Amino acid sequence: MSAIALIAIVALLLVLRQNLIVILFVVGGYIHLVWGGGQLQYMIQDMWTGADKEVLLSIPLFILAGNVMTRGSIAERLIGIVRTATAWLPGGMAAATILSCAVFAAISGSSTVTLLAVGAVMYPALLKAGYKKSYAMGAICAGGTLGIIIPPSIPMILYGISTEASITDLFIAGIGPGLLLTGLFTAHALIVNRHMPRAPASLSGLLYLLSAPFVLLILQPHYWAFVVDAVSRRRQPAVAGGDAGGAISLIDDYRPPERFAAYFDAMPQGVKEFGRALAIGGPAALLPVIILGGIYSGYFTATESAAIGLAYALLVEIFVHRELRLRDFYGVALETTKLLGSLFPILAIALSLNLLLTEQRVPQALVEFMTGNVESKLAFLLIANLLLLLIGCFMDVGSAILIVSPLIWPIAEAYGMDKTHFGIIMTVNLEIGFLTPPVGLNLIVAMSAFKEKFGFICRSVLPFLAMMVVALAAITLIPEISLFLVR
Amino acid sequence: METARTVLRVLFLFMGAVATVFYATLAILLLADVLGREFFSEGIFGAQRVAVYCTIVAGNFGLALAAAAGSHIRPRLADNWLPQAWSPALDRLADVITGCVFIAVAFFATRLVEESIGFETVSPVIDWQIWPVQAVIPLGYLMAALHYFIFAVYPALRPRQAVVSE
Repeated sequence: MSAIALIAIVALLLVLRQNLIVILFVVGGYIHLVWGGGQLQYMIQDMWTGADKEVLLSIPLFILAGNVMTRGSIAERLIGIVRTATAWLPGGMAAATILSCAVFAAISGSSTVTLLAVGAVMYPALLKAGYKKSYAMGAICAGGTLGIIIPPSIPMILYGISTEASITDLFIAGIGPGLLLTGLFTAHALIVNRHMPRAPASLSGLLYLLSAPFVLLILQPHYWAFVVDAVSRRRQPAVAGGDAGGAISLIDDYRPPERFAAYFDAMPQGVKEFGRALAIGGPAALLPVIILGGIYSGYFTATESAAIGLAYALLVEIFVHRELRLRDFYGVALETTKLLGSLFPILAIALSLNLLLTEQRVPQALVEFMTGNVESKLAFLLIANLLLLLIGCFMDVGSAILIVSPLIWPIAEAYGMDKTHFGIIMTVNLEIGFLTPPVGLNLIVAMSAFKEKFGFICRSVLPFLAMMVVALAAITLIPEISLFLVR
Repeated sequence: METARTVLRVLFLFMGAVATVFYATLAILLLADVLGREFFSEGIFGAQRVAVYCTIVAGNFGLALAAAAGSHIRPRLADNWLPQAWSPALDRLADVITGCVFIAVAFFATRLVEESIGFETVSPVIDWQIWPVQAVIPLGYLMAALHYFIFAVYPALRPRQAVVSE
């Protein structure tokens, strides 16, 4: 009877258009009053205990870093590098869209930020180059979802907090599934768009492309000396600061040392453009290396890498690109506060509810029910995946992880699942939820950002959804895809 | 209505400024801590603890800022269960209910603060009294409640519901 009353209260709150914070508060209060000790103050105490954790620090830092990068031109410069590197491939621009999403995902930790940052540049570019509109839209929406599976990932941090899993292990485990999805999307891009025109390619061009990064690395001191000299003489904005136009004019003026002159003269145009993009976007390209390299090598914890990533992004945008002023930090902090303001209370209430449910032995009851009725691990995985896919259709990923993972993880543990592997399965399931109506966040964001019809966007992501379901099955059934770097 | 608009604007600026200061402090503290440990083999004592408190303060001010920006996550699956003609009245009722729930939360949070003062609860590691940080919880919920009550009285001031991010 009490449970039916609780469901009725939730339905009433939904009809009364209450936000998730209010619904969770009322549900928590009801559970405390009916099944708990009846002291509502304990709920606030539990909220405090849940929020007073150092592991939470990485969330605001990654959100801050993501907002800094979105405001500046880091995304644009990274895309420039990937575009010029893939221009010789048939369907290269489509592949560049997916790879740009993957590279940006490696620094942002958010799906919608990735979608907007890459989509703003690549969606009009794909249409202009003659790619099918439905493909372009699907690629942007699906590529954006890589933001939460390729680490750093805010949903993985939330899963780690909820289930006390190692966030570093989750980040490392995300790389395999991230590469699998990126590979699938890229292969699809190249096959579907194989008839699209491409930049001329030759074996010498390929050799130049492979050698260019090393040559540019050798030339860096010489090049920067040239930039400093040019800027001081002309007072012209350049690579070391200012608009990309100024930067390009300086790169075009650059003359390498004599011993490299022949190498530069014989360089094909496409490779020159790649070199130019690399020179403009070089500092930005180091960002994923610093963040992921630090985490994977064990040099930084997730929180430390977030702090370093934020500091580096600020340094690059303020002093190198000169596209962010210190006073812009107010706008960045404001955006972060708004986002955190909607996430933080849900996090605190969800953690408080989890403590209460654990005290009431709800997870144990669920475990007993499931293991009593479902014997096979495979059947459990099938049920769990279907349930998570359904949840992903109706809830945002952060709330879903915070509310569901403490309930479902003990059941998965009873079937002998690995905590890290299950976190990845959960993240991929909810990642698919970004592309499923009615509340697929990427669909909604793309609808408002690119002014396209909802039905068209839903149809355009269908091939990508099929690929993601195949990848999900592989990730679920083959733990090594996630755990090969962790073990 | 102009007075209400001014109140909201002043609150927004105040909360934004406080959040910016706390985020800047958080970032500087953590960075200095990491650099200190890497280069001088010694981090800043209590940096992570203070950073946690900065997050809690900014997060609770963010609650009201998110209310001001209409960015709180709201499930919409029941939006069409009642006639659309009732929407304006339902929205105002929703704001009143949200405001009341937040006032209730602020009340219980105040009791938590009173207890911490009474027991002289201190923070682990840095040994500071924690009630000044806890006091931000009722403050944040009160400011958010104020926003919702103003929206209920002056629906024209209610922001458009923003699309949420993860």
